[in-house]
Amino acid sequence: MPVFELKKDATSVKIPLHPNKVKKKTIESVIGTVFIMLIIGFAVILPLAEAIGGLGLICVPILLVLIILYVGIIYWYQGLYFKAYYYDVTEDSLVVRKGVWFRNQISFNFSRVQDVYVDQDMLDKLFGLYDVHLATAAMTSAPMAHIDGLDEENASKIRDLLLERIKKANKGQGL
Amino acid sequence: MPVFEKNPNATCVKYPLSPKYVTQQTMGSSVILFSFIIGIIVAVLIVHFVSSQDTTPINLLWILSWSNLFIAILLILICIPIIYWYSKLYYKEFYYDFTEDSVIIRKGVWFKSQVSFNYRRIQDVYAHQFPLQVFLGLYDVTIATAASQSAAYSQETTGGGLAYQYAYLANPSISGLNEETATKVKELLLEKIKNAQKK
Repeated sequence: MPVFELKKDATSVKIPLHPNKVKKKTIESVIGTVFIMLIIGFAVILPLAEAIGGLGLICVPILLVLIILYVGIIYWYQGLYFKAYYYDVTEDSLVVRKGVWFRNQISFNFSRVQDVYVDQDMLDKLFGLYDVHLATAAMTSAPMAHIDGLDEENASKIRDLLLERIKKANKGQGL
Repeated sequence: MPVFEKNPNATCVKYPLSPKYVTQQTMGSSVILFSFIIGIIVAVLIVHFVSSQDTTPINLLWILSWSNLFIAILLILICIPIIYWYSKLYYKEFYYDFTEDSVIIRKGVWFKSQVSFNYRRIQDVYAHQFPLQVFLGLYDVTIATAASQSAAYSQETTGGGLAYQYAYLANPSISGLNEETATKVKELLLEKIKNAQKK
């Protein structure tokens, strides 16, 4: 079995992320940059192009093409990221793996879990998505043990599954 | 037994780092060093342009002149073997052992440091690869405890972003294992943690 194992019956196959996550993440990572590009376009390039006149106006479509290209590349990357996202809830442990170029995997035992969070930011609400994440006492676990972009049904399924496994793991420890 | 003991049956003898670790470190450090040097050169040029009243454009041919090229090649010829030699020493000095009840990791050539902790204290086990390692087929295995060292690091960077995402890199790590040994080290660790909890 390789380090980054791919089980056919992993939880990420049975209870998958919602495909809307790709759109949400694209919008989230693109929105600021596109806004800045448009401001630069209207405040700097457009007056400059008008001042030059004639051929200078070609800058405007070039800018628009660049923005579309940029959004396209981000969308493609987010698609790859979505495909690479892997999580598996086994009998006693959780494995979460993500990343396209920088690949990271976390594994820990359920008896180590401190908290289970479910949250939804503004864009999540628009797309009907939820984040489920766990934290152990190691502060580096929170951003890694993150199952991000589930629809309502799957989010509650995973939360219940996790809580059940945590309960089982802590039995007989007086907790 | 000395503080920095060397158990002949240590796990690092059974599952050693890949010899490619030296290549990984040499390439990684060289890239960082040379981008740093290029950064300094660019900064000096910018300062020169801004501060000098001389309006004549800088002679680009001067930058690419033979004497400068000679200095650059000399720098590379000196730096890369030194980095390679240091990485080799680091590789030789690296020691880790999974004993009956604890993990020991020791590293460093001139500044040696050793961490030991019980399996019961381990919170998470990470496996990760950065792009160069994907190319070389190497893995890092990192162990997180609830200790203040890792916690302090991530608290500093809770501003979010990449630094927080990769804060676990401050955890005790075994870097540069090939696929087979990385799998075995990870499985061994998870098994030991499981057994330690049962006791």
